[in-house]
Amino acid sequence: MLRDPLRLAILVLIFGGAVVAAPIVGAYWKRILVDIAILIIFALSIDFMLGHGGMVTLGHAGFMGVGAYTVAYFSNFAGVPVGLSILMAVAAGTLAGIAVGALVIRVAGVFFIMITLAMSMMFHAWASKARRFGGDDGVVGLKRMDLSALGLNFNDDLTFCLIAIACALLAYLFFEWLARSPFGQTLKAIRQNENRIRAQGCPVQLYKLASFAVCSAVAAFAGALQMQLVKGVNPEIAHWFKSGEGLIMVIVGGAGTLIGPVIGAVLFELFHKIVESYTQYWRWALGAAFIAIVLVAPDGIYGRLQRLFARRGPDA
Amino acid sequence: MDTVNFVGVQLLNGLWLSMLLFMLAVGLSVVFGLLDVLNLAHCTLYMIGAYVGLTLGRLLDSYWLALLLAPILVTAIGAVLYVALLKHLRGNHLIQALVTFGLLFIGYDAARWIFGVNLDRMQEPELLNTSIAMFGQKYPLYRLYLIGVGVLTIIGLYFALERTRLGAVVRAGVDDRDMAATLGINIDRAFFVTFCIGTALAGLAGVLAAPVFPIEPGMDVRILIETLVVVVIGGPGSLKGAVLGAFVIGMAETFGEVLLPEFASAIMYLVMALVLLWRPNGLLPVKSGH
Repeated sequence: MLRDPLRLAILVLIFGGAVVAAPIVGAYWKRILVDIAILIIFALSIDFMLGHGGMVTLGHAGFMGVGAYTVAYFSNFAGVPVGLSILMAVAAGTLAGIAVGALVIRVAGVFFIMITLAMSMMFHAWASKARRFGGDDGVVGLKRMDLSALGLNFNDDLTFCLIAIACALLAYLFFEWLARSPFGQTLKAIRQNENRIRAQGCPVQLYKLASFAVCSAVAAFAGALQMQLVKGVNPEIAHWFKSGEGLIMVIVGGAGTLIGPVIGAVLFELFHKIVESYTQYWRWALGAAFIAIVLVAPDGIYGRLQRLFARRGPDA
Repeated sequence: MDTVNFVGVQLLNGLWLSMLLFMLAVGLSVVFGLLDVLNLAHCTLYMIGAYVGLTLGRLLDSYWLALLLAPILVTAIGAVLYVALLKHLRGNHLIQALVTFGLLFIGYDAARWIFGVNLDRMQEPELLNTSIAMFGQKYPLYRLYLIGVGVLTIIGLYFALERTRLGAVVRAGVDDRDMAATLGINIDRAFFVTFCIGTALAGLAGVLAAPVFPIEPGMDVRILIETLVVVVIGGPGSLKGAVLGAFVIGMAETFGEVLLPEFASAIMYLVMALVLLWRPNGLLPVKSGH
């Protein structure tokens, strides 16, 4: 599956590095590793929709919000075990994806971007006013999943960290598998020439809707993981900042490559933390850097790396 | 009697909101329909208008001067943005969306840096700082003035579009850009002027809104959502569409906030969903040749 040495090398470097670093570093860096893991999952779901579904979304954080708030609701207000709540979060993400997707698929390109942005902000607006969840301030002190049956203490920093990294790797492998599956191949065909494959009898809208729903479900899982990390919820998880940051990670890393968002997530988090340590105004730097990359290297870092290695030696 | 008063007041509230949304949406819509440029930073220019208006109002101790000067300054900023960046992005929607989206991040921090996170509000001018007895309560004159300005803008734009040469060029360009260019019309210049007008309207809307909305970083994205929805349901490139869309959303927002506050945003979604299901090209789209 991963016969591409460049891709394999990057994966080993990032995930291997994370697994090696996790036991060694302190709590602050463990937290950063988890943050990166969650961002990887989130960015992957945006990238799959972009690269394979052909849809650019500016509102994906809304589904993270759906995931986080669903877990919070079921595990803390409805007495459902946390593990099951997480599953329900994914289900909620899927349903939300179908509901939103059914409407949004009908519009293309620019409108799609507009409406996805609008929808996520509507969720954000709802969450900011939802009294049960603490409105603007959110809620803290919620529960984490009990994994004692597996002999694991989820409340332990290192355990949580390693599980999060594992989830991120699984998410990557899942999308790689999906891309190569008949479903993924059909999506690729749709992206290349929608009318042609429609003429061959393919229910294009259904495929697009399905990919939208899958990506929403994964984003919801990322949201659920985030909720577990901070043991709380906050409307900011669905803010357009997060959606935008996710898209930035995808584009900077290399859109449509699946390894791109992984690279992008790592770089983004490092950029964020480093710049923020100097100034609270790190977002303008992010925006400026992003614009520069879009104009100068739209195929992203992985795209550049690919070109670099392709020129050097025989194709691997 | 009470219900009539209530409905009356909310109708007025909906109207002035509609006017503001219209002024924002028409610029975005026509620029998109004509130039095929999606400028997600359109409402950031509105925010700049509000901040500039606020600052000028304080510096010059005059609302009216601020009202006059702020849109000019915003237009200048917009013109620079167009020439330096947006003009070169024509044709690639994705890149436009991404680049202008990046501008939103820059705009947020710039506003935060210059003005801080706290919200501010502009002083209403002396002349309008009163209320009129209407519908059983004292209704602020400033809001009525907003409605008035909005109506004048609609009439002005309508005449400009229908009766002036530039208007004809814009209509031709929205209808079929390539054909218009083929006929020798300097479409580039028309684009630029149109963009400037749209930007001026956004800046004007900013100053007008400054006394009624909280001025804070992020106010641009907040209203961007509604503006985008108005453009989508009205139909891009269409003046009448912008009017109708603004009216629909303005009313939906106003009545929604009052009747079902927790679901106000859901109402906007529902309206948009219904419109798109029924008319995917918008309610009053410009019938285009391309």
